[in-house]
Amino acid sequence: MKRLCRELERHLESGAEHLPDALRAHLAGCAKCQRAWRLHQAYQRALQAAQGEPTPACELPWSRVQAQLAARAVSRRPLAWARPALGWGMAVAVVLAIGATLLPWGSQPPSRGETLAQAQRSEPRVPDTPPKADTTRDVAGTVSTEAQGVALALVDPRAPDARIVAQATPRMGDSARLQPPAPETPKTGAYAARLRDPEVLARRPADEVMGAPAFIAASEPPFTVASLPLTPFGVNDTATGVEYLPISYGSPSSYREGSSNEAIIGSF
Amino acid sequence: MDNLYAGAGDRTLTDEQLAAKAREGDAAAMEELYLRYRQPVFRIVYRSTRNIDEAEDIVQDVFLKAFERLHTFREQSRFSTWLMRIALNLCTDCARMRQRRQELLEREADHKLAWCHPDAPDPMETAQQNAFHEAFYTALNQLPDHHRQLIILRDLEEMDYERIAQILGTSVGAVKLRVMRARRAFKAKLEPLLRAIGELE
Repeated sequence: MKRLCRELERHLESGAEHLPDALRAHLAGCAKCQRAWRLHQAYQRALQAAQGEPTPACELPWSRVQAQLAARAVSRRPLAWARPALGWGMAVAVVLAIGATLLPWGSQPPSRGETLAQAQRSEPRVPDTPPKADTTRDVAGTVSTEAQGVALALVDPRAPDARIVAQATPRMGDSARLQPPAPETPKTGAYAARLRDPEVLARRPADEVMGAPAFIAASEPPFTVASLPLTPFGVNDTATGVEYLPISYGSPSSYREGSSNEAIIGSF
Repeated sequence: MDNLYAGAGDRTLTDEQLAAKAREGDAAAMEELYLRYRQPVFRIVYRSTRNIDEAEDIVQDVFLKAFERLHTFREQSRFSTWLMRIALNLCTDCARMRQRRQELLEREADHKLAWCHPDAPDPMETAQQNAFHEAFYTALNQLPDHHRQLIILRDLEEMDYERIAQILGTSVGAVKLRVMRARRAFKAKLEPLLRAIGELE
C-alpha cells in the first residue's frame, strides 16, 4: 500500500495529468492519496488560471533605456583614466607599508633591565647616596629594589630625597628577584641613544623605567611621596594633622620600634 | 509604442549577430535586441513581482546590465538564455529587497499592518476578486527564490527542461529534480490557502 502511495506521489509531482489504472484503483481506497489528488487538481486549476491571466504590455520606451545607458557611460568615464592612477597609488601604498613594517627590525628596543643598567652607567652619582641603597646585584644578578629606588631618585628631579624614595618604593616579590637577568648586549642606534638620554628617562614614568609590572600603575591611584624632613617621626604627626602609616621591612625578629626600617609612604 | 521603434535594427540578423554589433557600440542593434526581448523579459519579471511599475524598472535594469556587460557574453549559450538569467537574478535581488522592506514595515507596525498587505490572504476581498488566483500568487510569493523561478519558468511559462537547464546553468536531470521539489514546496504553501477559501472542501 505504501509503495502505491509513494508511486502516486511521484506521479503527481512529475506533473502527470492521467493516472494509470492501478493507481486509480488505489486512489479510491486511500484517504491520504485522495487528499493529495485533490490538492494536485487544485494546483492544476490554479496554474491554468494564472497562465490564462493576460500579462500587461511593457510600455517602457527604448529612449528611456538609451538615456540611462548614456548617463551611466558618462558617470563611468572618469574611472577609465583613473584606473591606472589607482593602480599606481595602490602599488606605492603597498611599498610604503612594507617599508614601514621592515624598518623597525634594524634597531630593536632594549629590554627594561638593560635600560636600567644603562641609566645607571650614564648618570652621575649623587654625593649623598643613602646607605640602604644596595646597588650591587644579588645572586641571581637582578638589580635589587633598593637600587631601583635610587635610580628612580637619580632620574626623577621631582623626587625630594633619594633615601625616602628608596625606602618608600614597594618591594618586588622574590619571584621578581629570581628572574634571569636581561642580556647585556650593548645596543646601538638612535632608539638606544634616546633611551639613554637622561631627559627622556626623567620624563618616563617611574614604573616603566624600573621595570615594574604595568598593572600597578594602571590599577592603583598614583601616590604622592611625602616630602618630609629626614628626622625620626612618630606614627601620628599631630603637628601637621596628617596620619602616616609606618611600613616595616624585614623579619619580625629584626623589627624594633623606631628603627630605620620604617618608612613613610604616604598620607591618608 | 512598438511601431515608433520598429525597424531600427536589422530584423534579419540573429540575436548573436546583433549582440556582436551591440558590443561594438551599435545603438540600432541594441534597440533591436531590446524590442525583441522587452516583452518576454517583462512577462517573466511581472510573474514574479505582480507590479507593473516595479517590473518595468527591473526590465530597464536587465537591459542596462546586459548592454553594459555584453563583453562577458561568450556566445556559448543563446542571447535570450543569457538575458533571462540576468532577469532572474535581478528578480531575486528585487524579491529580497521587497521582503526586507515588508519585514521592516511589519516590525514598525508591530504586525498590525499584516492584514492590509496586498499579498496577505483576505477571504472577503479575495472572494470578490479572484480568490483562487490570489491564493496562487500568494503561495508563489512565499516560496524561496529558487523554487519560485522554477515554477514560473516551467509551469507558468512552460519552458522545456533543456532551456531551463541552460538558463540556470545546470543539467536537465537536476532541473527535473528541482522542479519536483519546487512543486512539492508550492503545494505545501498552497494547500492551507486553498483550504481557507474552500477550494479543497
